[in-house]
Amino acid sequence: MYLFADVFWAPKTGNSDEEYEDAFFPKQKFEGRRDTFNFAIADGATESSFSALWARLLVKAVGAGRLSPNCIEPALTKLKSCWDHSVSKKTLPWFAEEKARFGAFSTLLGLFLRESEEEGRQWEAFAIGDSCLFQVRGDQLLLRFPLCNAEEFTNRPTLLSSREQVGDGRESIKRHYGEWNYEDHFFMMTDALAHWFLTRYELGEKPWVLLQSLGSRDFSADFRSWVNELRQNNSLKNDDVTLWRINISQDP
Amino acid sequence: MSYTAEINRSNPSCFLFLIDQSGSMSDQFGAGESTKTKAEGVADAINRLLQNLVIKCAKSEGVRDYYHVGVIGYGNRVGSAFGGQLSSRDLVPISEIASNPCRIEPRSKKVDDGAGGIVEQSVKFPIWFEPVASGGTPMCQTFSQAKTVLDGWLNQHAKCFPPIVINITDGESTDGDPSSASMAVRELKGDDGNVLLFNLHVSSHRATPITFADSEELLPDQFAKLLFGMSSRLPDYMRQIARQEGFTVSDNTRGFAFNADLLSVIQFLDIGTRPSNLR
Repeated sequence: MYLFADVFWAPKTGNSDEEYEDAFFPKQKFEGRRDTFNFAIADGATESSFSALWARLLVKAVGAGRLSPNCIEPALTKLKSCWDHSVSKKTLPWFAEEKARFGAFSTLLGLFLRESEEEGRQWEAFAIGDSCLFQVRGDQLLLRFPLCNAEEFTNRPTLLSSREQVGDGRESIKRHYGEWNYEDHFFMMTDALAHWFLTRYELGEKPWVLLQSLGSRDFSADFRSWVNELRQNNSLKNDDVTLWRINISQDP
Repeated sequence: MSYTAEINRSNPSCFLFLIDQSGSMSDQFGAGESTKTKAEGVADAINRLLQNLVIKCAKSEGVRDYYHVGVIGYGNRVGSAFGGQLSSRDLVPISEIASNPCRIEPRSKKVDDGAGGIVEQSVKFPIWFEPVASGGTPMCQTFSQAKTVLDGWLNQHAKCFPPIVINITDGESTDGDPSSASMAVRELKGDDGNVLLFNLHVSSHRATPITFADSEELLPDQFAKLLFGMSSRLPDYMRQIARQEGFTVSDNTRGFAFNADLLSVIQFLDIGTRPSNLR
């Protein structure tokens, strides 16, 4: 398979780039031929601290194949220990120490693309929280995962915790799999944009057409200006935004 | 629609605590085996509320100023109850409160060990306020001062999520019926709705603690009933969250607690995504 993958991101209005708490893998756009490839996005919760660190650890582990639908328990235990090690070696004021005790929280969405002679063209995904995956073929939306409707979004999703505790979120991980064809498009996005996407879709529109034009000559505004415009007219919640746009073809 | 304004650093909201420091607060607190005085109950409540508010706004790089906070004490005098660096200030950014507790006490806390058991952990508990109990209970004067402070805030922050006032008292006002002075506070409004007034009644009465009452019928005395009547109804969105959190609420539910705590009121405020599994 030949992949053209572009990533777009923007911090919440009022926050700096350093305060952006989503994370994505790979670290930048990707183009090339592969038999397998993993993509990931994660959305660190605003109300927890060190959540950007937790989100980055999660996507990196998915990218490297250490955390996958078939390997969750041992991988999460190691990642939690890594997060704890990074946080506990810092000297923190009382409030940061107390906050860190609660742990960090994040969504996670991983997409695993495969192509082989034996098994054909397969994809597998796993998700916790409200970061969403959409698959488009031609002008049809084939897949909405893990949320299917705009009304399913709330401000209190169940997320993955960086602490070993009852209800750390792993019991809420959802899995899905299917097949892909050449010229399919996958979109992975964090909740604010996913909510916009599903809202437009429910109105009978094809929001992927606009996302497909991002960064092209047909799309004059850059991503951040476009996002800001949506925020200003209340079409998009003011939150960190991340989008992976993945196009698969047979040849470059 | 009211109570929908985003709380962020460029559009912060505000909390104003009113704490009863009158002589009657030296009486015993609550039911059963409690050995605390009401003044100790109040000091505990305000310290816990401030601690929770600071932690809510804490991020890895520090505390973000999503809120400005004031504390008016009333007893011998009515005025800012802050001491030390914050002395005599009305409304203070939450990051300054975080950096200026009077002292930090070690306490132990029982926590989930992740394997189905409970372990004791040492935690840091900041103390901003010590128990004080002397003088009368000039509640009317206190509400009047609260109104002045909030008027000034709303003039400068018209678009903010409406200020929340939390009055912690035994309810025994000594300068008259505070109903109309408290109504004047509740009538203050910005673009996003009216000021919310919640009351936490700290009582010597040995009745069952109540959080979020919706009628005065079950309340044990005239002070509780008075404070219930002075409390704002929970806005729609708070009622919804209260339900999700397991409270029984109706359209008449008010921000009133009897010998219970009002930490939930703080947890109900959104400053972004809050995981459902974060407790």
